[in-house]
Amino acid sequence: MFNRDFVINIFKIIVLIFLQVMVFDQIEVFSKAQPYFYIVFVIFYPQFGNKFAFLLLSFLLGLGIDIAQQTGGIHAFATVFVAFYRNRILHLITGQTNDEYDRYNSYELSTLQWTFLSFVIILAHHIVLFLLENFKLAHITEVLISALASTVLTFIFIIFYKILFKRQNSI
Amino acid sequence: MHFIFNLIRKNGFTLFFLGLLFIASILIFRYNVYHEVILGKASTNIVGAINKQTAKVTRFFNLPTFNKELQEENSTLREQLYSLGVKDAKTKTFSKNDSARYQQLYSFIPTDVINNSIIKSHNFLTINKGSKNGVQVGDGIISQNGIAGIVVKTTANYARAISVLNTDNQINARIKGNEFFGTMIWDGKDPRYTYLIEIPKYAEVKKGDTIETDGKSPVFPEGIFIGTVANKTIDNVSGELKIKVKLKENFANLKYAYVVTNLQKIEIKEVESTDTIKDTQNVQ
Repeated sequence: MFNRDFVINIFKIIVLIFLQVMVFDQIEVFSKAQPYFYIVFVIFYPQFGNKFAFLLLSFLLGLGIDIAQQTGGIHAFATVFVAFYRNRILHLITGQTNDEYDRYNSYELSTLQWTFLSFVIILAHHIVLFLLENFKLAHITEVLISALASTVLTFIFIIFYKILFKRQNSI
Repeated sequence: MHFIFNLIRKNGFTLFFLGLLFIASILIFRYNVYHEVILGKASTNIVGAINKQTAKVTRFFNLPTFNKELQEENSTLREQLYSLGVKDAKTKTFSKNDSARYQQLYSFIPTDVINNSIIKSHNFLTINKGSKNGVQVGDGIISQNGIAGIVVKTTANYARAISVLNTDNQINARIKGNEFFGTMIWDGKDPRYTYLIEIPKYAEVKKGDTIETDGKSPVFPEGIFIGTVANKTIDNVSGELKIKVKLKENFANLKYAYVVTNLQKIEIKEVESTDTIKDTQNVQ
């Protein structure tokens, strides 16, 4: 679990936290939406990587954002939440279980499948995040609209990232 | 015993997940209750340093607008100087009014807002002046367009303030003219509007009336402009007026502000702390 990949991922997390705090926290569209780009880590974590390391890294990532934004633990909660359900969503989309995979063939998703997967992950993360941030059921429609608008915004940035750095559809 | 080990080995991943969620929940509740994170002080310092660098860049692009606003503020201040009978600052001939200095009640520390958010329901500001510059917990923050927040945490060089746009924040405000006062709250929806509640039903309020600070709390001086009345409704629950206030300050581009310190705050607190009657000898 604590191998070379783990250390590399720690560096990735630090870069993502700095990127989020310095660039993406400055972006606010129509005073409704804000991108939470760091979720890109959850989307692009290798599928056959260590599950426990994945959860722990997601927690550390969320905690880092929480410390930077002084929000307690809401980012950690939301990130761990989607990290846990990511592989289940993936199985749901491809219709396969873990046992059926050939671990040595790079597994490819179609563009539609990838789009659906990342959108669902971002949407779930943002809804959990915004609900925790608001923490009451009053104004729930505004909160959900805000979450949806932020999802679209984050999704646009993630597509940019994918086009620039990840041409293959493998997760 | 064997059974328990088996269970843990099989469901280890889920248990690990639930454990992490539990830790995150503890962090959330700790924060909500005590308004303090374990790393709160350290993070205010580190993030403050980062935000300062980021703010340097973003500020550059907004310079023309700020210059214009500063000019406007200068002009209003100069008008006030005239009304006080003190000569213009441009001619460099100040006539110091010693009696005013003697009774000085508030001190103003100019500061930059280096971090600010408006889209959450619990928004905070970070400013680049701290306890070294005389900022204390409980001080108010005003900008040229009205009030901005209240300081809740200070380090040596930075301070963190709870914004007006925070659903936990309650500020004493009144209607200019008829002097009815109430509590100003924010509902977490639109950063351009707040609500003034606890105003009696018979108070005469028109659209466009001025809302200003009341001076009944020691945080803000009396008569600082907050905004204008957008509309009024009668609250179904309390039966009192609920006034929608259009803020003059645009929190989305808040950059320059002043920290207001009430120099007699401790004295006021001291005299108010005797509200609870402890010696009940005369109470039958």
